[in-house]
Amino acid sequence: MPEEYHMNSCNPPSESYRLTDDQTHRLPVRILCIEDNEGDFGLLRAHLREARFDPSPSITRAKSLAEALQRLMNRQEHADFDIVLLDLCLPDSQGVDTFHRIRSADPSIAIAILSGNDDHDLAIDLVQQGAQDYLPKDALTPDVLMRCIIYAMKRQRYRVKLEKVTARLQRTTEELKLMQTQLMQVEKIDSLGRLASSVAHEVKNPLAAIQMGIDYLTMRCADTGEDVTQTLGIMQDAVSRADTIIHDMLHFSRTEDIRLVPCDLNELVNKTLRMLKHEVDRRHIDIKLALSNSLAETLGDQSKLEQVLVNVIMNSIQAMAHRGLLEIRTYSDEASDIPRDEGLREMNAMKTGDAVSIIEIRDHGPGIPDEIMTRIFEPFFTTKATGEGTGLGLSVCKRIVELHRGQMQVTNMPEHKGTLVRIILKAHSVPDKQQQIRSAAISLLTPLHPPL
Amino acid sequence: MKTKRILVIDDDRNLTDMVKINLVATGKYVVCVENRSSHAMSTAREFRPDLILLDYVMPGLDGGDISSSLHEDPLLKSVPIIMVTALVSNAEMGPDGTSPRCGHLMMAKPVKFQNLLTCIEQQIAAHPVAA
Repeated sequence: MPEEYHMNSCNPPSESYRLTDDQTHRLPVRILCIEDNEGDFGLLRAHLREARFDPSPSITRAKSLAEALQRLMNRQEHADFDIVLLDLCLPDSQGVDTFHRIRSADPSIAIAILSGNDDHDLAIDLVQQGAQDYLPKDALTPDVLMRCIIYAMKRQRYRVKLEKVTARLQRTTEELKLMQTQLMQVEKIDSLGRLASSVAHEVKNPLAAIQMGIDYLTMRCADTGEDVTQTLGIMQDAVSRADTIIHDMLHFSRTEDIRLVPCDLNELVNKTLRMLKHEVDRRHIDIKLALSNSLAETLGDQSKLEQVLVNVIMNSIQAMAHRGLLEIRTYSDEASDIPRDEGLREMNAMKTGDAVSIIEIRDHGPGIPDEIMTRIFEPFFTTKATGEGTGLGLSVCKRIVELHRGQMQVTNMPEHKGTLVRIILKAHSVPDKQQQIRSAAISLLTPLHPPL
Repeated sequence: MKTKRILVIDDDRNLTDMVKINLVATGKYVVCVENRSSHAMSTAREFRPDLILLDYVMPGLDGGDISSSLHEDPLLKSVPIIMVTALVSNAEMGPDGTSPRCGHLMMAKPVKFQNLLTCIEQQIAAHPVAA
C-alpha cells in the first residue's frame, strides 16, 4: 500500500502526495544537503525535523563539491539519495557549474537548489536545465521545504521513467525503420525477381526466333558482300547482348542454392586476375598484391565468388581509366560493426566477433560521389552508357556475398583517393558436414522457377 | 542419306517457323510443327518423328507432361527428345550449347542453329533404331 505524506492543515494539498513508487514505501526520504554555511545548514536541518515527514528523513551533509561528489560516487557504502538540496556557492565551486557537476555525477537524482538570493532568471534557467526546484533560503518554512522535496522527488521519478520510455521508444522506432528498409529491399528484389523471370521468358522466345533468322541469313547470304556480313554480325552481337542481360536479370532474381565448398580466397584472387590479364594489360594497370599466408579457409561457391571479383575488379579498373594502381589484399580478422539484420534471423548469420577472411580491393580512382554511394547496390542503377553495363553488377555481387552470409562494403578513401571494396566471408576452420549441408540449402526467397 | 523426320513442339509460331526453315534448308530433314501442346501426342503418333524438339513452358500441357506421355507411348518412347527452353540460360550450358538436366537434354533459348543441328545429328546417330 502506498504511503501518504500529510501536510499541514493550513496548506491544504491541491493534489495527492501519494508516492506510488514501491521502492519508497515506508522508507525515510534520503536527503543530501550540500551546504557549507553552518548557520544555513542548521536552519535547514531544523526545518526538516519540524516538517511532518513520516518516517523522518535521513540527512547527509556535504560541505564542499568535492565531498558531495565523493558521497554521490560512493554508492556501495551509502544508500542512494532521493534528493539533493544544493547551495550553488561552495568553497570549491560557484554558480551554475556546481549544479552541472552534481547533475552529471548522477543524472537520475532530483536536485532542488537553495539559494541565498532570489534571482528569477537564474531560477528559470536552472529548472530548464534539469533542476527540480529553485528556492530562496529566506522564504523556507518546514512545509514549503517538505512540499518542495516531495514534489521534486515525484517529478524526478516521472522524468527518469519518461526518459527510459523515450529511449526505448526511440530504439524501437529505429529498429522498426531498419526493418522497414530491409523489408522494402526484399520486396523490391522479390517483385523484380517475378518480373525478371516472366519478362525473360517472354523475351527469350522472340530472341530465339531472331537468332534462327540470323543463322538462316548467315547461311544463305554468306558470299553476298561485306555489308551483309557486317549487318549480320551486328545483329548477332545484339542478340547475344540481350541474352546476357536477361541472364544477369535472372541470375539476380533467382535464388539458386549456392554450392558451398572449402575455398581458397588467395587462389580465387589469382585465378580472377589471370582471367582479367588482358584487360589489366590493355589499361596499363599496376597490381599490388598482399595475400595473407595464413588466411583462414572459407566456404564458398567458387564460380559465384569469381563473378563477384570480376565485377568489382572491372569496376575498379574502369574507375582509373588508363594507368593506375590496383591493390588487392587478403587477411584474416574478426567481424566488427556488423549491422543487425532484423529480416534475417538465422543461426549462421555473421555476427560481430566471428572469425572472417577478407578480400580488399582498392583502386586509386576518383572515388564514388556521395550522391551515388547510397545507390550503388540498387538493381539497375548504373553510371555507364547503354550497352556498357546493365546496372546489375554490384547488386548481383552484393546478393551473392549475402547468400554466402557474408558482407560487402564499399567505402571511399579520404580526400578522393580511390575506393575500397571489402568482401567479408566467414572463416571456416573445422570442416563440418552438417554445417555445409545447412549452408548449401540457404535461399533468401522462395524459388521463382518451377523445378525442371 | 535418308531424310529424318523432326517434330517441333513449341507454342511460339515465329520460332517454330524459323526452326523449320533452317532445318529444311539443310536438305536433311522433314519437319512438322505443332504449336498446340494439347495436340502434341496425336501429331507425334501420326507423324512418327525420328526426333522431337520440345519446349517446356506452354499453356495447358507443358513440356514435362508431354515428355512423360511420350515415354509411356509404346511407339514413341524411344524417340530422342531435345528440350529447348527459356527456363535455362546459355551461360549455364556447356560449350556445345547443351546440358543434361533431370534426364533431359536441354538447350537454352535463344539457341544457335549450328548448335541445334549438331545436337540433332548426335542424338539421331545415338538412337539408330528409333522410328
